[in-house]
Amino acid sequence: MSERGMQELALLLLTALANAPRHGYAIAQEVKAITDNRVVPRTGALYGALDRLLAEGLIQVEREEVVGGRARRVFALAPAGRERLEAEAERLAATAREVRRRLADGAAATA
Amino acid sequence: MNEFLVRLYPAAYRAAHGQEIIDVHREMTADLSRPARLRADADLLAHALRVRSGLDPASPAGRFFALAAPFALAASAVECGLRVTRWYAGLVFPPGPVRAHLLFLDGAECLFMLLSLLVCVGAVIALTGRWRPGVGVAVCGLAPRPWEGSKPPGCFSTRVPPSAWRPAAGISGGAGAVRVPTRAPAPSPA
Repeated sequence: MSERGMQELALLLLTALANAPRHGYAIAQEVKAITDNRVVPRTGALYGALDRLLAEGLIQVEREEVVGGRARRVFALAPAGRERLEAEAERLAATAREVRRRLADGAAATA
Repeated sequence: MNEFLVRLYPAAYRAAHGQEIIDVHREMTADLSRPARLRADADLLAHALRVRSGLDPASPAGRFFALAAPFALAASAVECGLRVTRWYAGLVFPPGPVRAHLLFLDGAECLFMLLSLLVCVGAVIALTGRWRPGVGVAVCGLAPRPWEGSKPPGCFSTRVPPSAWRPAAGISGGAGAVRVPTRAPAPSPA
């Protein structure tokens, strides 16, 4: 992933893992909750993005747990992913600050 | 159905994650309507095929194709655009009314030109910001002509390429079009 902006799904997956490790289904549910049901990842897209984040070292498999006799991976944010997410949050916050400043300038000019 | 879809993953991937994917897919599609479930199945199918073909975004080949896709699309559009331009010039420049030429047009040739036009329109849509719909349109133009041996539709990765690459691809495609002069076919001696 480049230093420009992260793709939305990747950013949302990292955000979902920012405060706690989660398994695949819980990550999907968390993404739905974060976006107020605007983004509902499908299984293929979810696992495609998780595989990519794993390959890039932004997330890691924290453990495998067995539920109902079936194993599932629990994913967690890797140190590189935390660093990347913080940088992304700072970039988004800077953009938001600039948007507010310009909107305020525009409102003052029209008043 | 889920078991069948997961069987499309390569054996090693299926052995490692197949059951996990089946369980998650089942939970995620439990409350969906039938059309929504079919779309979810299609998404899983696409992921399985991408992993099987080594074109998933996690693989080096998948990343390469994601970067190369806009350029391949631009090249296809230039190729098709030149073909349409030559065809149009061949229709307009020879003496005689255009309507008379149109009457003797071959149906297959018309279809071929229509598909070429579809590729051009799709490339413009994709390279100007709407990647997925644009690629869909372009692939509709490319897919029915496998004999062409040009860019395989599979090379247009479903991973959206970095937006910064799309103008570059468009510009290089445009430069390619400028470098190749288009001429009307020479009139036949007869």
